[in-house]
Amino acid sequence: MTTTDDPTFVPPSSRVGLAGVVPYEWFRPVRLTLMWTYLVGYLVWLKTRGLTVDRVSVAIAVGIFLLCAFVGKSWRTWGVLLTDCVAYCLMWLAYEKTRGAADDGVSILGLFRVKFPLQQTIMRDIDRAMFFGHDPNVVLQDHFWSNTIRWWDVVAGTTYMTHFVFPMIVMAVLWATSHRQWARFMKRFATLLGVACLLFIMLPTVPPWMAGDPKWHIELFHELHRNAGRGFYHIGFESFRDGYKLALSNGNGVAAMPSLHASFALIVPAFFLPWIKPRWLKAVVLVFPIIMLSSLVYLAEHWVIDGLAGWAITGLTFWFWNRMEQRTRRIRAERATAALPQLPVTAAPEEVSA
Amino acid sequence: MSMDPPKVLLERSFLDAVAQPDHADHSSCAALYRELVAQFERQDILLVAVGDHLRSIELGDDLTAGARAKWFLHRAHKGLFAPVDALYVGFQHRRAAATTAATGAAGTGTGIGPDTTVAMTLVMCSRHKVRRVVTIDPAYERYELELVHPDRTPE
Repeated sequence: MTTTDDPTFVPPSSRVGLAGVVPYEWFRPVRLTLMWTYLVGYLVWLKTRGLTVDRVSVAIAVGIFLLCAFVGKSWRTWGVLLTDCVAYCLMWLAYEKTRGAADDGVSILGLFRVKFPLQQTIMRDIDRAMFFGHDPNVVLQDHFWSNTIRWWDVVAGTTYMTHFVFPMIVMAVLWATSHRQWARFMKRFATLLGVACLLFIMLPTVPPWMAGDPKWHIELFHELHRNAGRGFYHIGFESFRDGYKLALSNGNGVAAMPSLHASFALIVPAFFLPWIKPRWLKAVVLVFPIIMLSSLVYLAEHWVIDGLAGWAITGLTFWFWNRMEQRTRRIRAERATAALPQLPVTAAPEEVSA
Repeated sequence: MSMDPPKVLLERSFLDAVAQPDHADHSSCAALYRELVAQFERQDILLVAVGDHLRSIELGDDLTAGARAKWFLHRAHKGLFAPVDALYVGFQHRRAAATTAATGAAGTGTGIGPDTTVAMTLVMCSRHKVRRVVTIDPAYERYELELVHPDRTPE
């Protein structure tokens, strides 16, 4: 008999395994087969039709994956999935709607419209202050951009494009593997989107490519090249461009502060960081957001400060939700212990999870 | 590899002992539960219980369909078992538990009787990949589970 001070496990020995008692779940191999088939189909589509980047296509792709991953699950699980999907779609609709309002302002109860001034120089001034009077976008393009596509164009273009699918792949995989972790990820993701949308409205900002384009009559510096996808296109993703142009046409050019490209590139590695044990691997993983921000600046899509602001908001989002989750755990633990009779507190127990 | 902390299942007999102050094993079970809650708060473990068993203890067995549905759709994390998450039981789990119990009742040596409590717990452990079970029921000792026993207070 063990004691409460020292809860121990009775080690499994020659006892009956659960597999020998509980009927086999035949839907499990069906799910696995469907998911592998989906993966193969996705890769074939990627090679032949290109990367799906617009929100609707991505949502459909994620939806098909979830159908495969949830075959044979209980009705309640399907109900939870349906609720999640509705919340997911509402989140993106709110994002698209709000982002679209960045330069039109916001209607307050239909009575009047609040419109915030377009920021033309402040982000550029901050960048110049950080880089001792230089424009990072201009310096990078002047030194590295040429008509010939080099390896760094491929790296920059591919990194840029991961934004459209990388977080959604993570969401889909978490959805299928751990609903608890999916909910944790989505809380942070939705908060980040919400704060970003608020800033898009309150701080509509001219991006570097617009600041140098004579068409917009701002001309803070000479015209910069804007062709973020050319490196990605160069490695054989032929049909990707149409979708990309379409996605951009639905966007808003002045919804630039903060950079969601930079934020999304950080939120994924930051979420998985606690599970990565080797320090060197943590460092490697965190190189990705740095490559993303460098790419954004090189491709004239964002100012450096846009990316830094995106990272800061991501960090604050994690800080906030980590505290909230800790608070929830504490409250639940206090409720339980308050309902328990007062018993003598035992000495430091051995970890049950050890 | 799971991303979640290890799940520890509070089995029906343990839940009963914690919830009933006049239970013979109440003191030892409550003391162990307190430790488990502390570990839950540190995020070292997740506490789970079979939904049917938890509902029966929290709300009793004489429930209206409405109260049952409300608990099924949204269980408030309040009271003694606030840290515990319910593993909701679906039709497929009931069918599997019934099969398990029937097989056991037919004398195949699995040791499970016609009572579906043990069978349901085993099914949920299997489906949700739970290996650690806190119980005072000796029936589980014949299965490949990591059992956590509380100390029984001397009479």
